[in-house]
Amino acid sequence: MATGNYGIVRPADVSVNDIEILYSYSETRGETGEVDLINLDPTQVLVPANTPANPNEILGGMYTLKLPTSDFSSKGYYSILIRPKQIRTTIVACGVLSASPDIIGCVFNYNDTAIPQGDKIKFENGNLVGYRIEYLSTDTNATQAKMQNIYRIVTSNNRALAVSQNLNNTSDQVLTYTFDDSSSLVFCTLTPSSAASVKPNILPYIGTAGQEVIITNTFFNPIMVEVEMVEYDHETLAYALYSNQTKSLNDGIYTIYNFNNDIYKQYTLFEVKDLYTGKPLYEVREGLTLPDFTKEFDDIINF
Amino acid sequence: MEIIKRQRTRENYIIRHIPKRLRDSDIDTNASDYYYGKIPDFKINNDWKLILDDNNQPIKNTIDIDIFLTQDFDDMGIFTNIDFNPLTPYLTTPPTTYPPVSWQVGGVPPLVPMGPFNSFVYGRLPGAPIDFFIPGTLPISGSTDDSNLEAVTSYRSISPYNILLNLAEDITITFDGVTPATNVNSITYAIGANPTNNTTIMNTGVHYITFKNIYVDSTDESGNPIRYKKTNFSSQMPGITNNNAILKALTKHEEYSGIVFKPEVESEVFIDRGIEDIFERHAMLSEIKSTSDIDDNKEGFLST
Repeated sequence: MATGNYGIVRPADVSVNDIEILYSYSETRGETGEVDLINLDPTQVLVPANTPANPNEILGGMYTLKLPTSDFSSKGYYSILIRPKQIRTTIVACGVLSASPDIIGCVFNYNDTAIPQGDKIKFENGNLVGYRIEYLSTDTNATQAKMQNIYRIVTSNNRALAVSQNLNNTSDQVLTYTFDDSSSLVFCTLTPSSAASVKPNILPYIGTAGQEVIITNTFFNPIMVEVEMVEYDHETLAYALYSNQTKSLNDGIYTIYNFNNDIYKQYTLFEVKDLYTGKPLYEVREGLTLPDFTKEFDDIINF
Repeated sequence: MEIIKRQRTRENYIIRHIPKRLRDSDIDTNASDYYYGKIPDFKINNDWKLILDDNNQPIKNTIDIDIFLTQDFDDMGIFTNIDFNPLTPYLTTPPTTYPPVSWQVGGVPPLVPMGPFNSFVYGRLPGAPIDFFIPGTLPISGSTDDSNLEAVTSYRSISPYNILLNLAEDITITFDGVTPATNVNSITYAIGANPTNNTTIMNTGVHYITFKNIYVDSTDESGNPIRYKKTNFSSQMPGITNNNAILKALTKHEEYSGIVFKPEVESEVFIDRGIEDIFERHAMLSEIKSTSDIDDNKEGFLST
């Protein structure tokens, strides 16, 4: 019985504007060099299917990847990564709410120029819920710029204003945050986040001020599509076996047609003979690079 | 991450057809519009001419692969309401672009067109008053039995349905009574209406119409046949207004993440599990993980 099951898989109805597509090409599987990834514009190559009876309503789940032949026609292997779109910004601060000091979160600046204009609305109150945050290393000399295997999920986000707050036990003051829609700062709670404490060494980690982060939507699960472009398949091999063929007795041109009777392959048939005795040594079938279009099948049989 | 493998043959995209116009002439194999044996960047027809779209632009030739994207989701737990300082002055009309025009600084134009304002899509937008979040009212209607007719029936033995006679417990607060549209075939009445005047009576509360001569045959919970006069109801009142809704900032207490109440079916069934072996009591104890489990297993019965 399904009652009580909350976790579920659903067909994604993500907008192509929230998707990133990268691809790499290798001629053979044996290539060992670094993978060069190239960006594709999802709005140009990914088309969502619509519900049949409602043309403007996305069906959900089913998308058609339209790979341009200008980039994807070479024989070899194309690895296409389709993943949620990423937004990069910097953590302004980590702190707690004035009204509820057990709620800790990290603070972003809505006006950060690194955030694309079209993505700023995602930083409005509540719109980042469910987004994933990954962290870049604060060590500028690190060989790996990204902090690996660490991510957090945004559980709430609201515009917040920094306020100075007196502490009970000392004369010190600390900076805390209060929800204020006039502010350009965005206070995000994360999970898993620190326990109800502001000890700097407490786990789990939610980031530090000045740290760059990558914010990613979780609207769909990323997939990898490996497209293998090949010269031959069972259909083309069937041309050689079952399709129409002609052999020109005049010039020895042997032509294989596809099932539409278009010229598929052409060869020149000839013999190699001994120069002095004239004795045949080899029968040769040599492919033609430029086809002889006078051997069109329709023209020959209608001669 | 799912990996999908697809194989495509280049031959499916290579041009093999020779246009009739070129068959009887010398073909310039170096011409830009010579396509035999090639995969063109743009779609061409049988005459090796570019196919144009509605805007007279060539259509890109593509290798099409269908993929299926899915999303996993889990419950996000309980949100916590917290007060916030609103951005003022409030917007007077829902914005059609983002940022709203009133936010313009230094002549920066709004960039993202917005559809009809929807808090699910745009979040709790700063400056948006609560009115923006209150959905428009649509009249609701349905059908029921005639049991509510008793609430508007007076003690008169003759003509017990008196138009505009208020039978509510406190007639200064609500109106429960028959309305003027009553006729020989049906009784119209309102329950829970505002008693101020005839207009408020007609526009508030739930309005019923019971047909005197139309009966509905049905069965009760035990399957016994029941019969009642056909009754329809309708109301034009909103469910959410400025008076019963409030805007709050939603945030999370980490300790409440993942805490939800599962839907439970309550039925008074007590199961005596008995004692089959010496470990039975230990096994039963191991099933108690929450205070509600204690209630379910109390007094030796499993209550479901």
